[in-house]
Amino acid sequence: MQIQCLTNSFACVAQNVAPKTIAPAVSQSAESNPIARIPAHRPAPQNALIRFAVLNALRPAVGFLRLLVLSASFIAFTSSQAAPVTLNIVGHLTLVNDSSNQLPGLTVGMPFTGTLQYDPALTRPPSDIPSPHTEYYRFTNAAGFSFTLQVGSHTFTGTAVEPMENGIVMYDDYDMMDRFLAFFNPPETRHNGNPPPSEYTYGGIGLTLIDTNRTAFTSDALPAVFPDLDKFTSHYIDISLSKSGEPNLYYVVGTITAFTASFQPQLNIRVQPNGSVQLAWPLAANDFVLETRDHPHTGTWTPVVQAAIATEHEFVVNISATDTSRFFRLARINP
Amino acid sequence: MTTTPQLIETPANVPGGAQYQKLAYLDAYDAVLNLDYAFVAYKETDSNGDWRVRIKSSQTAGAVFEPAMMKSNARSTGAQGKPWFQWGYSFDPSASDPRCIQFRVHVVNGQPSEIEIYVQLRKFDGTADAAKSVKFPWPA
Repeated sequence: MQIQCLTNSFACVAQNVAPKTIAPAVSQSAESNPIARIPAHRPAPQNALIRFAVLNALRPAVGFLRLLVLSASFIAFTSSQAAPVTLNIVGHLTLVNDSSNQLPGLTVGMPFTGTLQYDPALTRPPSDIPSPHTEYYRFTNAAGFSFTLQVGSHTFTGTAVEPMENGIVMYDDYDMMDRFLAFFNPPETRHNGNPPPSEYTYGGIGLTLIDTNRTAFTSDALPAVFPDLDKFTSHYIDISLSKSGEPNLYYVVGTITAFTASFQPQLNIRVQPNGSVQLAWPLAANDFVLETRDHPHTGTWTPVVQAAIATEHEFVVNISATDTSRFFRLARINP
Repeated sequence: MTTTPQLIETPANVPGGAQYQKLAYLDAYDAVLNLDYAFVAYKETDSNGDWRVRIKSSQTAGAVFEPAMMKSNARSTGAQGKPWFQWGYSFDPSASDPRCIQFRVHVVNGQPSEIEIYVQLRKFDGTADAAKSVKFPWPA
């Protein structure tokens, strides 16, 4: 049995599918490691390109050759995908402290835009913070976490790379607040493409959402969906740079006046040692259901009968590989 | 001269592995429970040079202070105009129980400057005893 990747794409024209169309997984693997991670819940314009997972019983020799091709196809596909959670923000600057004119042109009131993206599946193992109300999530690579802020002619970017001076810190009813704090410290930031001087180890760029009423979040899990902006009592970005023990070289704060958030969970497929297939998706996608049908283009999507099991980090469904082919997708329950 | 032994110790160094440097110690007595609470803070350095600060407690959970996260938490705290933020385990006082156990990271210029172990337990009658506290510099 192999999992085959269909590299042909097609337009999603099924009207009853379009509002909640998901791009399901495509993969093959001889091990249990996930090798296919394909975003779900992609908005489905008429020409949306969608790829499906296919579980095929192939003759070994044929299967091997096809797997080589499929692996290459998979790499090309995943490298171009955005992280599943995207937060687009707009706002204006409320504080500009830049006495040495490091950021020429920035003034209070200037508008900014920004995009924060993260993939809950690409965090390092949870840290051992012994509090049920806080968690610190660090991300393993650029596909897992990125941040771009545009203010006037200045572009600030944060990209998750080693040494992983980045992360999201969640508070759920902790220190008198609910809080979402996303940050990149200087080693992982760029200003107009340039890294900061190495002696500037403090500062960076950050996005903070605070609710002192402590109702915005219900856990310290990474949020896949966000409440409305007015749920937060403070919501701002900050940009700064400083040396250890010294005041900031510059310090800029801006209030976020609006944001939109989207969530595209990814579906993983793994071949298990016993030959069965495991499909998995993030716990954050708890309002999604796994659906299947026999053909990529025709037929009705129906929920997979096997119950999804919540593990520590994801939902999993194990399926016996008895069919010649099946196709899977994640679909939002209430799109 | 006698010295009172600590009720909780810094872990022993591991040859070729993690190294531990004691940073602070505090103990306090809760008369209602007839129980000592002890805390030790130490810097833990891995063999690859990565480090963090830990607080270990005899009766409660503790805290882990990762440098990268402390930097950004301090920056965010500074942006809020607050002098310190809380991290790790906490026991916050309520109307029926005045105990307070907090690990506070003090912030100067948007950077972590000190960590404070703040402990307030109870007298025999259940009212708040005097608070005890120890601070030590953030070992950046």
